[in-house]
Amino acid sequence: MDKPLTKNIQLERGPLNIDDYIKAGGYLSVQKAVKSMAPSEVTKTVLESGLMGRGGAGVSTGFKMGAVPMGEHASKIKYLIANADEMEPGTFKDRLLLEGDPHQLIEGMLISAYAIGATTAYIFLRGEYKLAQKRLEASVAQAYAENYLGQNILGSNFSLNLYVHMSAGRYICGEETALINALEGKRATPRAKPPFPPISGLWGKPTLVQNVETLCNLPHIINHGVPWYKALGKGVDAGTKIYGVSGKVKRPGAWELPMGTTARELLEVHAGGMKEGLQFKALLPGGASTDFWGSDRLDTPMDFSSTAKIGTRMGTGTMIVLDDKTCPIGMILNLERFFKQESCGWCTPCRDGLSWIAETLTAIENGEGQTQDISILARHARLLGPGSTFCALAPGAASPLQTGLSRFKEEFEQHILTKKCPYQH
Amino acid sequence: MPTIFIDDKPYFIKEGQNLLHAALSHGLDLPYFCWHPGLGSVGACRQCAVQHFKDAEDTKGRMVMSCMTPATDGMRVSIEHETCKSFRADVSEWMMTNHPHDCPVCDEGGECHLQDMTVMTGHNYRQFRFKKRTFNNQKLGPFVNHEMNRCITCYRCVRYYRDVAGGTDLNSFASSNRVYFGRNEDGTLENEFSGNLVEVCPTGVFTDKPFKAFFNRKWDLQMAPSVCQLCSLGCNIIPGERFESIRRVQNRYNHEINDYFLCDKGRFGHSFVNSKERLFVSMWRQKAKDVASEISQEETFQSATKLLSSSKRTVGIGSPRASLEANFALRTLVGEDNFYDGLSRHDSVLLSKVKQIVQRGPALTASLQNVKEADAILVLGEDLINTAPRLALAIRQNVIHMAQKKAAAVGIAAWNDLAVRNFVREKSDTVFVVTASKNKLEDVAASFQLHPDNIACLGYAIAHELNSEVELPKGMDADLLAKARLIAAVLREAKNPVIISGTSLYTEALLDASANVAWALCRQGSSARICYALPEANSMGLSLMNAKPLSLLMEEIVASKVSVAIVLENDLSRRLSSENLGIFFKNIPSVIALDSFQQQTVRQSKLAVATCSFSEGTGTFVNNEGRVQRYYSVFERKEKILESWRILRDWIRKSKKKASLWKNLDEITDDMCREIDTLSAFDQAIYRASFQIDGQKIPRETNGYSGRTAMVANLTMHEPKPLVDVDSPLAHSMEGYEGQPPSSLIPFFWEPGWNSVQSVNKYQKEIGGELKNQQPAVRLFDKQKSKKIVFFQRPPSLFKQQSGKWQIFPRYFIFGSEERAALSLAISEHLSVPCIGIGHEDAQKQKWLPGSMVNVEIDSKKWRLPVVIHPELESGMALMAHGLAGMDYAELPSYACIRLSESAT
Ligand SMILES: Cc1cc2nc3c(=O)[nH]c(=O)nc-3n(C[C@H](O)[C@H](O)[C@H](O)COP(=O)(O)O)c2cc1C
Ligand code: SF4
Ligand code: SF4
Ligand code: SF4
Ligand code: FES
Repeated sequence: MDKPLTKNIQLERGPLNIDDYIKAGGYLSVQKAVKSMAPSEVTKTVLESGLMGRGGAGVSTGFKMGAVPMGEHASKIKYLIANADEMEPGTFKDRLLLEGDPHQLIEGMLISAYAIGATTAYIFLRGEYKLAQKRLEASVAQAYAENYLGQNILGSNFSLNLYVHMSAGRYICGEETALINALEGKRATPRAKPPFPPISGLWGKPTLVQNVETLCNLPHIINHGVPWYKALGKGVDAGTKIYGVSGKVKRPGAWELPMGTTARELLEVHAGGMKEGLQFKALLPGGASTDFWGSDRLDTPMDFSSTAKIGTRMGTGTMIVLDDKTCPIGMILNLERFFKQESCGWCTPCRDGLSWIAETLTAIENGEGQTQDISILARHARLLGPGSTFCALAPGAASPLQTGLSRFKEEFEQHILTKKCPYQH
Repeated sequence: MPTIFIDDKPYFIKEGQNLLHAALSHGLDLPYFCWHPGLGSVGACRQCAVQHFKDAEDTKGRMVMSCMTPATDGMRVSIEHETCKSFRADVSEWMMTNHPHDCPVCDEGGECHLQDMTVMTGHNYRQFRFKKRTFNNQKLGPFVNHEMNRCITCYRCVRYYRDVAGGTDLNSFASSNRVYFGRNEDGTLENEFSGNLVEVCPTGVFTDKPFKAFFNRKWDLQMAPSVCQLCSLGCNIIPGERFESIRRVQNRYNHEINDYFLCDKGRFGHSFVNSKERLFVSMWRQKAKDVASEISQEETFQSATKLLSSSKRTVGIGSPRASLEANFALRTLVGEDNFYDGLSRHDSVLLSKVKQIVQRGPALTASLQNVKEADAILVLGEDLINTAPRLALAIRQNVIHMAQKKAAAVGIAAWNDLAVRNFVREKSDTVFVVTASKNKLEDVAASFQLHPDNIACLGYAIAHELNSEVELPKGMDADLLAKARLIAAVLREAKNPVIISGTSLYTEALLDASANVAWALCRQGSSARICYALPEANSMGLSLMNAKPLSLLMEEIVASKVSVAIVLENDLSRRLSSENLGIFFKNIPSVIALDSFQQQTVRQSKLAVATCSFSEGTGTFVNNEGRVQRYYSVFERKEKILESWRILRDWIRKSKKKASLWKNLDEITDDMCREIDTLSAFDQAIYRASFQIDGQKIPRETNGYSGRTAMVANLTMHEPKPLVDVDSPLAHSMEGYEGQPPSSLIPFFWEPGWNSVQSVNKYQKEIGGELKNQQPAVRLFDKQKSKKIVFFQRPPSLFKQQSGKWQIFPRYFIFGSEERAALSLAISEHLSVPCIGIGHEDAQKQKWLPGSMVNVEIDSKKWRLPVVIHPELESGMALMAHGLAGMDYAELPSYACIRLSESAT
């Protein structure tokens, strides 16, 4: 089984330096693209590969790259940003790539920057990822030294400067337009779309924001071609995916597997099933902003197309597992408290709705719930859906709440009726 | 015309509008918060949700924010659809989770957009049962009160303050549901337009602080359409009165001038009418040294007419802050030969030059709207923020307007405010502001500093670039010439550029240069306009009176044997040096001063006649662009004080034996317009006192006005008969026509369900555009334009420093240089202090520090002043504070010696 993204990663050893990385076939894609492909060919290849953004929304990467204006009349200044904010609860896939093989990300960014004509690139890194910062900065320095970054890369006309920027630390900074504002030193609130960043992004210039994992796929697509890449996936969606499992399972972790691996395989095979004495109750398939799945959904292939078909989302593909001994309301409260705390405060439903949700859940969990609380929560779960808020943070927060309310209806009622949390002794 | 369907009814729309703008423009009720016509859309509050349908079959639709959705032809939307309707009520409920439910004790209550919108959404019961979050309030200075708990986090305040007004000291802090709007610490808001926060904030967070100190509800105010008295722009205002005091001033929307925003001087300066310095009774002083004694109105009349009848020669001294009518009455009394303008020497010269330029043409004058919409702007010399503040704000609005045009190129709608701002990052490349010292437009415009003469030279050079008939000043360096070329190139490309200058640097060459530039552009076929900031509110009006310069009177004063001088609403100590003022009083045995407040001329006069102020009398001003505007008396005092023109009329009646002269304002207006040709258009446009709608006058009081009898219950149990206003179509009453009057007669904005200032929506044809009952403006200089251009030649020489001397120019201050505004309580807490401004280089050379006390010696006169350092000021020149209380008048520009004061500390 091909594992292009993680083939160089051995956590015990640390990341490859540039020499070893090149020995292992690194930066070949840059040679190939810069010397033998027009930027538009790169974009076309990525589009045909079927790569979908790994940041959670699953938008076609080639399509996004194609939205950046090219040619004579396009702005001479364009930016590429690697979204390495990864603050989604339960998500640690980008961290694996950042710490494990930083050159791979740089190589991916070179491909993307070449395709869109960017001359400056940023890695917007989660504030807590100190180790990744160290490794990235070292790798960036090596890449400059070897002229994989800087002026006239490999003797071509293509130049790229790359900066590592540490986030000051807010979940909303992962949202691409809030990220851009943060990078500019402004309040991290999202921007209205349209205009999308490819039209007006960082400093008002065309900008592409791409997830770390997305970018890491690019060198391999260029090196091995579209049919190879498509064949990596199990189902409709192409490529491999870094899946993760956390919660009270035997072997929590992250693995590169074919796109379309089922949730059951992840849980039972790769994570080794639940810990002794615990039963599986539910899971969040891709971070905190996705729906609760019960055992009825375990056989769903974890890819964008299959999940969309049944009206749910894969998100980041890093699942959080809930067992039968942990209070589901406590878990939801924990999540909603996080979302409330991280709301940027720009739009009313999220800013005031999430606080209300968190207050209500706190009351329920503390045995102070009232019967109407369930309908208040249900109303909020409905109202914070897509379209009613300014960005996707609140709809993300509504997902576990809405599905939790129906999946754990009894637990909610029991908390309110008995005026205590039955999971606490 | 593109059409959209709202709840299945077709509505015409204008290209480029968003749905909210379109719906409100058609008079529909759709609630909103974060949107504001002066600020555009940001989609934050989510209050304006509507349902958008794919086609006629679609009944479910998709909810969208109307303020963020372009209205496009054929679009089908619903305001009434259950989904969006209940969502809007939910948004209200969310806003209410933390909002104090105490409207009765809130200053915004009764004119609160939040109240109105909450009622509109139908939300009435709040399910939230948890503790509300609370904030600390800040002390933000004398103008604006802060009560953060009332905040609904709509972000309007910061967007207005930072993005429109250019302020930097108000911001939003923190996140989640603890977003805080304020300064990073207590302190006076720094921006000159901070008062607009009061109207921009839709809740009781930012409210009018002086109003709060003497609070009453909006519906208990008596209000009238009025015009700002405090600079030459003539912004439209609504003063509100109760218990014979002006409680506050609000913006009166006029899309050609001030649209939604006033400056702080205009908003907070008019309470000078409540000041302790008001003159309510006339005073008589037998001999110069005597203590003046109060006299009745009848005694005043007797004394004045007696003085007049025995006078050998009576001169009248007019005023640039008195109404046209008052000046005209005085001119009629003394005769044109004896009528003087009451201006300082340079104001006289500059004003007649301005008049000559705007009359001779071919450039038309610019309104503030023209400035906002210009495609290029050049400011030559004038420090607008201090001399014509709202014009500086109009320039900022222009920069936004031009950015919107740029953003349109990539499909960003003009209303998509943050998108426009994010896309356009550069300073304007079409606005150039050249001043002597920093001008507070540096952040948005291309700006640099020069000596005033050099600014004029630059203007000449620009004009020369555009038309070689204009002489090129000698000796200009390459850098300055390059600048001239660049500016000329931008102006040349523009279709409707505006050239701005003014009189405050006392430099005539600046007027010439700016006219040359505008005319050279006109010659090329562009519709360039010209705009001058003038010294006072009715400077232009006074210039129509053919008055002789006051300096002429001073020249002949010894020989001319004047027995009586009538000084109309004018303090000559602000026009003449103290030496000349002494000569004036010494040579004229009887000086009669008419004014509404105590000032030096009033204090020194033999007869000081109390006149009413703009708040109690109706009159007419001509603003800097030649726009004739009438301000209406707001209230009448129980102890009635007459307008100057009425007082003077009584004297004319007696002395000229015209017993029935000018029974009301209409009659004097008729006479005045007949005699002063330029004004004839005004006579036709004015609403006469007899004007009625549906047989009714227009009430100055709202229909909720309370306490009509209670207010006087200590005197009488009966309701007093409403006063009859013989001068205007307005009534001192709550009864009368309740619909929307013509634009110039709107005493207040109100509609059922729209109690806040945003009720102005209901008075507009299109939101943000002209009013429904807009009258055409009367602009005096639009007609008599000759096509022939005679450029001013003789450019000044470039400034050469004189060793050991400084050339001193005046420096105006928004808070302090206007004598009456300085009397307002709020402004008196925010006054600028006398000072002398020196360039960085000079200060270093002299080893002067900020605050060093120096003596500025002009001729033999000394001013002891602290040094202020203007880093950018050219070496060899200095700026001396002008018009501040306690500063003697100085004849400028003059050369002076500046020396460290002996008693320096
Ligand atoms: C609240 C919020 C947080 C987000 N956080 C991240 C993040 O940490 N990393 C990320 O790659 N994308 C995140 N996204 C998604 C980004 O907005 C964006 O879609 C993504 O970076 C695009 O990259 P892709 O096309 O490669 O997936 C977040 C979105 C939202 C609404
Ligand atoms: S949903 Fe609104 S408040 Fe929440 S993070 Fe997005 S923009 Fe901010
Ligand atoms: S202070 Fe007023 S304007 Fe500012 S956000 Fe709050 S409610 Fe809106
Ligand atoms: S700009 Fe001038 S006219 Fe307008 S409000 Fe200010 S002082 Fe008054
Ligand atoms: S008015 Fe439309 S979202 Fe605020």
